Amino acid sequence: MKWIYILPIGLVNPATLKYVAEEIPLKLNYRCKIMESIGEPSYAFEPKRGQYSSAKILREILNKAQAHPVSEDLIKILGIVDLDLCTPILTFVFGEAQLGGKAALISLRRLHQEYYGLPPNPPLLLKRAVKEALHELGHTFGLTHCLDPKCVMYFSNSVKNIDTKSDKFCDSCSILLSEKKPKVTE
Amino acid sequence: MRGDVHILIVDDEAVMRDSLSAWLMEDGYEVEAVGDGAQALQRVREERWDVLLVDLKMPGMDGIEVLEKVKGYNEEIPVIIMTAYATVDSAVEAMKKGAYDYIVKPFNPEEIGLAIRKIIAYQDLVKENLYLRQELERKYQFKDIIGKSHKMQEVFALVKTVAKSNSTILIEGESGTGKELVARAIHNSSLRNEGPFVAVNCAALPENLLESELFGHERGAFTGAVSTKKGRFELANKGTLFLDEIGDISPKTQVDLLRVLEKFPAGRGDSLN
Repeated sequence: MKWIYILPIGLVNPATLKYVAEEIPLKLNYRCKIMESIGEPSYAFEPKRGQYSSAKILREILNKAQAHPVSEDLIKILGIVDLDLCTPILTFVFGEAQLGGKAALISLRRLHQEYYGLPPNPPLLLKRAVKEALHELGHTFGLTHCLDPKCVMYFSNSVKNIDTKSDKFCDSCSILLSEKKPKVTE
Repeated sequence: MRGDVHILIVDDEAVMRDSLSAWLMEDGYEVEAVGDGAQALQRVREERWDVLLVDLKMPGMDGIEVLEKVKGYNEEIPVIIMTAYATVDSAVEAMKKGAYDYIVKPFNPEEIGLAIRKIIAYQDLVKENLYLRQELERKYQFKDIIGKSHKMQEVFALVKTVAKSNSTILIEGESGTGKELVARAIHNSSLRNEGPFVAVNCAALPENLLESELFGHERGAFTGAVSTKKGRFELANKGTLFLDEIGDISPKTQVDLLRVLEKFPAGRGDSLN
């Protein structure tokens, strides 16, 4: 049996991890295992940007995925951080994934209402986290951005976009996903 | 989904190339990245690209030079200049030299995506417009002419063939068989189709008026010529003149016509009379 592994990086609320781990199987048909947390990714800190390099953290996640004994039953690995992520080319990212690969990463930092000076809204945070997790995992299954604003694979550059889209794959993406999943699991 | 859109990234920094490539690939684009201007120009010559993303500061050939050379090769290729060192001067220079956009690194995730989507949407519109024009032209060329028979197909083929020439064309046929429709089809299929199609029913005009109609006249050329009048030949300039029922006009006017047809362009006035 293959699992999606969830890797907490630094401090991440356990309740959020548990919720994400319970929701992913409902959409992707793979059950999740929550791994032991690894420390803050100081190696990925970009002083000029005051943010963390998603590419560097993604490489670290991939190293974890290749390590024994995890690699035996691992289909995908999803890192979750509560730090602000960036790439050399983009001012920020909600997450990053290897297209058609093993590893994905999401950041909760910009999913909190508090980030925008608003009162905390835990249910909203959980919904956003699940959507972003499914979105990045979708990339690892080879899916690209979808033009349907309701599809979870729709590109989101703001929490407003995330809130607008659903936590479901549209019909087209579902078909692509079902075509791509077996190839990856073989 | 967007795999038919080809994007070429030109940046000397590998980390930038990788990061931008990965992000655009997630968006479904077909992406290739090269490290300098020379490689970029080579790839531009070798393949069709929908968008070029070119870094401004590169050793050797900088982004502006790449932009100039790409535009010199094919003005239609949209080029977006990217830089981490934006200045008003370089932005003005880039835009003046034909850059589609000038964006500052790092970008807001939506900024670059929006710029590319706008380019693609514009290109799609251009392609659609071209297609619709061709479709309209194709339909209009033979509009009102109905015929599936072998003989009519031969007529259509002949129309297409003769339309390419600027020669005088004689259309023969019984009255009511559609000679004018064929003349219009020839005009619409020709390179002159942007110009006017002028039809003259020669049989409907008396000889003295016919001359004036065809060739026009200068003011005072004859009694009653109170003003200068353009003839149909002149009105049909850069277009097509259709002379209907030419067999019904007098031998004298036929001779005049022959002289005109032999000595283009037609002149106005009594010199032809």
